[in-house]
Amino acid sequence: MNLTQIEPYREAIVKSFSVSDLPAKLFELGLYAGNPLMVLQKSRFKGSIYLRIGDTYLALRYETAALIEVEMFDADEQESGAGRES
Amino acid sequence: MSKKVALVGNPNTGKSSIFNILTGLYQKVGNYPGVTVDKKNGKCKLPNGEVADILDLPGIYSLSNPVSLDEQIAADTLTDNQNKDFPDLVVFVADAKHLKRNLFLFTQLIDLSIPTVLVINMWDTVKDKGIIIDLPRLQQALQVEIIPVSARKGTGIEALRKTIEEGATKAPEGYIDMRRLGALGASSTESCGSEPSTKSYKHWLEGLRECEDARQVKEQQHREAVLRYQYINQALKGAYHLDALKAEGWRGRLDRALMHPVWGYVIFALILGLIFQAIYSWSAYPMDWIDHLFSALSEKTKQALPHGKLTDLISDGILPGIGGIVIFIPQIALLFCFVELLEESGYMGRVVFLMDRWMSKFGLSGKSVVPLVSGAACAIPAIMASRNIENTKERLLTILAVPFMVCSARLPVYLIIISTVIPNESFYGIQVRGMALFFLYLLGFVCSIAAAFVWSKVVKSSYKNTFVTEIPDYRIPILKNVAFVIYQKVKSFVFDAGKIILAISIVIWFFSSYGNYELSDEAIEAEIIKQNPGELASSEAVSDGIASYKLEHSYIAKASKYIEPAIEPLGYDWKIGVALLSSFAAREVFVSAISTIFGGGTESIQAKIANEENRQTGKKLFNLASGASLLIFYALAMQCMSTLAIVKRETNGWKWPLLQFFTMNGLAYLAAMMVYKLLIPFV
Repeated sequence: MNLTQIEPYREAIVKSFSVSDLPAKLFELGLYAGNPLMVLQKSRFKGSIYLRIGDTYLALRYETAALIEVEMFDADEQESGAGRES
Repeated sequence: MSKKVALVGNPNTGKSSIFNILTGLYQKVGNYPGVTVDKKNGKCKLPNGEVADILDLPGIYSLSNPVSLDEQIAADTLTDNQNKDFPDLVVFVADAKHLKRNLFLFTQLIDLSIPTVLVINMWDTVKDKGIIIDLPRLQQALQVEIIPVSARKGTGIEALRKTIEEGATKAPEGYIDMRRLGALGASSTESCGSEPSTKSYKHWLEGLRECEDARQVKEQQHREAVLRYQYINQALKGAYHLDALKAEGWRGRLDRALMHPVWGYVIFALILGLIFQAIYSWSAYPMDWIDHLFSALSEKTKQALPHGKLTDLISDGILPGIGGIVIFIPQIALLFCFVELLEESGYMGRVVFLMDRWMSKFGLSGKSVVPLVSGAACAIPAIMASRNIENTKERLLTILAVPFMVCSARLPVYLIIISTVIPNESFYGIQVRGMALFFLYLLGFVCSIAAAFVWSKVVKSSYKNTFVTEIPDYRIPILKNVAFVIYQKVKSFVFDAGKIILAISIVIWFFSSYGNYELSDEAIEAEIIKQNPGELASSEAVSDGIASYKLEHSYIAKASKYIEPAIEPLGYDWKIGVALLSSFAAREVFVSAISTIFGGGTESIQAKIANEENRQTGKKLFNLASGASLLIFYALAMQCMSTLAIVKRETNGWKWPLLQFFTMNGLAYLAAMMVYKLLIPFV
């Protein structure tokens, strides 16, 4: 399931992504495996996606968001943090 | 030598507010050598009476990945201890609500072994936002001094001054185990990242910069991010807790309205409409006063000083020239006030989000909105503002689009022509003149978008769309910050652009008051009386006659009459030609040039223009057709040499500014001619 496929206001965590296809700025803003995120708004017709990742609010284009695999939030994984990096 | 202190932090952390409080009015805005990034520095008085130099570096997210020239400059300053701005102490400003992400950059500074103190700003909001910070524990975990500050309430500033005086007393060892990052360096370009690094973070950064393998660089940047966030999560455990839901506060509700797929746009359109109406109607009064004040000053000067050339220079050259500069101040101040309010409140970030999908269709980015909106003040800072667009193609297209936006230099030209050729009526409570102005703004916007689209088909690019932007928190703007920006913008306009405007208006005055006159004053007078035998010529009519005779035989008239055949199809005579020619130095000169050429009477500029007749057609010189043609010409033409100069600098060559110059002016000429031919039957 990628970032464009989850509904707004559902909690999720970052699962995996292709490092070489994403801008490094995303990593600095908190895109790492295990960080919780929530989609806040999706524009229609594959427009930008507005989300909260960790404590950062940011907007991404649809094509970028589609490269990020996510997992629906599960209470057990709350404490896993960045250590889950593969 | 005084201590050098740099303020460093992510964008939107309130760094500038802290800078303003620390330095007060002892600050100046300059440029970094060779580039046009604002360099803000100032002096701060310390408790012991010493003075520290404070440098407010541009907001930055990471030292290992500067994505714009602003960020590059911040990174260069901090990573090179030979840099003349390299600080003795860094005051790192973090936002309590985004501490985790802010600490990313902070840990990079510590790993560079730069003495750093941590300021947690917006401390006043901590309780409301459900944030719990255990300061002693956090200080221990990070091994640095932490100063809680509220720039808004002004709390914690004294403690900060004291800390700046004492310097950072604690120096933590590096946070990151460098062995866990790959070795990078010039020597290992072929295999960068393959071996564990044993060198310092600074060496690693240098290696990263030199490494040519983009994939490896990305891998390493990701590796760094993971290591840093692991460290930060560990350090914050038990010392910092953020209740995301509570921290959101009314942000969620506001976002749902302001970023709504329908209402978001409606609200944005309303806000823009309101701004334009406000600029139009509010600035009219001070502009009127300034106009009258300067014509009164000219008159008084003429009466007070002995008759002569020097007096003429002052009353007809210098004073109207200065008046032509001062008259812009109300508009520039108002516009930057609004732009800054949108920026400070966090609303601009929402506009970026809303507009990106539309902008991207024309080859632009959502971030192009900021340069485009700033272009409504002046293309020069707007083109400079395009720097935070990471994608080079989108940035170039933004630069090409911006000059079509209605800049504040076009505004006086529009205002004066609109008030001459469009009746002062209102239609269902909406001023017709206001609507005409709104239409011109709309035209500018449509043209700039269209220009971007056309150029996007021509410009080649292999770059991917990587639009990633932080959406900042909402904030009630701090009026002091807004006032500082307005002050700075007005000052730079008056002293930078003003110089050129004044010089040109004096030159125009000279060429319009001197020439090869065949007749002496007495002979002209005799000629006028002879031409009007029935009338008893008043002394005023005679002196007016002499003035217009002289102008028609002046140097500038000769030059302009030369180009008259070229501009005649657009509905202009040589007098407008003079104004048009001088506009190529700066558009706003149009008004003062018209004022000078149409005679130095006591009438206001508007009255002079309204009464002027075209000698060839016998109609009013400024009628609906020629007025509309002029408006269109000014809307589309590239007349501003300063803009061309800045485009040259930003695109690193003459190709784009020259292309802009010829395409825009060609288009302006054709469009103005069409409008004139279409409208002339109705006049």
